[in-house]
Amino acid sequence: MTRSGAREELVGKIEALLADPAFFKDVLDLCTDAPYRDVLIAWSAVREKHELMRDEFGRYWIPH
Amino acid sequence: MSDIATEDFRAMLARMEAQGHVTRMKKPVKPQHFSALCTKAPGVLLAEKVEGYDFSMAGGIFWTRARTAASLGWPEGELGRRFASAVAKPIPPVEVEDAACQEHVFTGDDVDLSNIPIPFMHEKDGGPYLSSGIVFANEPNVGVNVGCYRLMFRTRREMGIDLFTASDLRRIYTKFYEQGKPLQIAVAFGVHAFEHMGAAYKAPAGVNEIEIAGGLRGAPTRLVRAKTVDLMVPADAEMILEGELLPNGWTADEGPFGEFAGMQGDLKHNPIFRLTAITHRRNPILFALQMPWENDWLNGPATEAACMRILSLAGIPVVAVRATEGGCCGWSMVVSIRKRAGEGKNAIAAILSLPVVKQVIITDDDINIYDSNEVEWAVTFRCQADKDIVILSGMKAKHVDPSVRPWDMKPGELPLTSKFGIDATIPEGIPAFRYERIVPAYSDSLRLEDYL
Ligand SMILES: Cc1cc2nc3c(=O)[nH]c(=O)nc-3n(C[C@H](O)[C@H](O)[C@H](O)COP(=O)(O)O)c2cc1C
Repeated sequence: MTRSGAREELVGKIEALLADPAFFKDVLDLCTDAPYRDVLIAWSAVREKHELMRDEFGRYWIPH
Repeated sequence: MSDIATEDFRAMLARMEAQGHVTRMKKPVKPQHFSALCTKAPGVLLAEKVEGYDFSMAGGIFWTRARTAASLGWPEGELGRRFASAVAKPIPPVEVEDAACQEHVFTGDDVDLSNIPIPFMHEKDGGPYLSSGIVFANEPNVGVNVGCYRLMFRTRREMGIDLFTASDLRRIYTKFYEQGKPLQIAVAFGVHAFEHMGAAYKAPAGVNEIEIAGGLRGAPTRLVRAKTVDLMVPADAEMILEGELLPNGWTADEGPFGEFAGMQGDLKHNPIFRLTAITHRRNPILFALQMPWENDWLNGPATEAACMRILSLAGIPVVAVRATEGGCCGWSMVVSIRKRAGEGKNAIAAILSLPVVKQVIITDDDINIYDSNEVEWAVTFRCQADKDIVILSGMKAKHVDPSVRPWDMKPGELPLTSKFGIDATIPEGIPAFRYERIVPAYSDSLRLEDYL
C-alpha cells in the first residue's frame, strides 16, 4: 500500500473508533503499527473533516 | 562574565552532562514513550534518536531542586536569594542579525507540525503536547510580554493554547478578541533555564520578562527578528513557532493535560494558535518538559524570593526559605528565622498573605530546613497545637485545588480557601537550654575512617 493509502486507512480506523467515546490514548493504541507522524497526520485530517465532540472526561467522539 | 552567562540550551545540557546529571538514551524512542522513561531516569533524559524524526529529545531538566540549581549554576540553598537579586537588576536584551534558531525556516505550505515529534505525555491527555514553550506577544502601548503556555496538537497548522486562567497574555488576547482581531505570537522552545525561569515569573504588566532573564543570566539575552510576525525571539533557541491566536475566544476544546498541581486537569475551551512559520536549528533538540515537577521548579525560586521579600518588609530576620516538592514548590513553605518574641506568628501572617502559599512551618535558625526529620522534630517538640497553629479562612484560592470544591461554585464565583501555619519556633518563655541537643562525646576529635 502507498504511504497516502496507509494514511487514508488510518483516518478510517480512527473514525470507526470514534463512533463511541474514546481517549486520545485509545487512538494511539489503535495505531501502534503506524509511524507516529502518520498518526498525527491522520488525526489532523479527522479534526478537519469532523467537528469532534468531547465528554467531561476528555473523550472524543464523532456524532452520528 | 561567567561562561554560564553566555550559554545556550545545548551548552547548558552539555555542562549538566559533564557534572553527571544526564542519562543518554542510545536506542530510538517513540515520542509517546518518552515521558514514562523520563520518570524512570536517574537524571535528565536525553534521547539521541526519536523514531521517524530528525530531532533528539530532552526532559527532566528541572525535575528536582538539585537539577534546577545545576541548570542555573547556583547552589541549591541559594535559589530564592539569587532569584531576588536578579529581579532587582534586570538587563535589557540585545538584537542580533544571524540566529541559530533560524538555521531552517519553514513557511507557507511547508509549515507542518507533524514534522515535530510532539510527545503524548499522560494517559488522559487530550492529545500530544508541547509543554516547554515560552510565548512572546506585544501589548500595544505597553510592550513585550513573555510567559510559559502549553500547546496541544490539533492539526498540522493549529494548536490549542491554555488561556483559561488570568494572566497578562490572556488580558492582551482579550483586547484583540474583543476587536475581532488575531494576536501575533511567537513561541520559543529549548531556551536556557534563565529565559525559561524569567518567562515563568509573574512580572507586573509592563515589565519585560526577558529583562528579568537577563538579570538571572547576568548578561543580555540575544534576540532576533522573527520571520513572519512582528516580534523578537531568542536567537539561540532550539525551535520557534510563529503565528497568531485566532479571535475565536474560548471555544476550541483543549486538554485535559497533566497539571502543575500533579493532578490530571479538566477539559477546557480555549483559543486556537494558527502557525505561519516553524524555524529551528540544525539537529534540533526538543525539550519535552515533564509535569508536574519541571513546571513547579520553574516557579519555586520565585516563590522563595517572594517569601524573603515579604519577611524583610515585615522586618523579620530570615535565615532560609524552602519551597517543598510535596507542596508543588510553592503551596507549602518551610522557613527558618532568627526570632524575636512574637515573630513566629508574624512570619506566618506575612507568608500566608502570598496568593499561592497554603501552608507554612516557621522554625528557629538552629533547624536545617532541608532535613524533613529536623523540621518534624521542631514541630513535635516546639509546638503546642492550641497556641501555635494559626488558621486563616476565607482567603483567595485557586481552582486547581479540589479541596475548595470548585465544581460547586456559581459561574464567575472565585474560590476561597483556609490556610494554616505552624509556629515551630521555641515558645516564648522557654529557655533555649531546655532544647539542648545530644552531642556524642569526643565527636569533634574522632574520625571513623581511622578505625576502618
Ligand atoms: C511550564 C509551565 C507551563 C505553564 N503553562 C501555562 C498555561 O498553559 N496556561 C497558563 O495560563 N499559565 C501557564 N503557566 C503559568 C504562566 O506561565 C505564568 O503564570 C506566567 O507568569 C504568565 O505570564 P504572563 O502573565 O506574563 O502572560 C505555565 C507555567 C510553566 C512554568
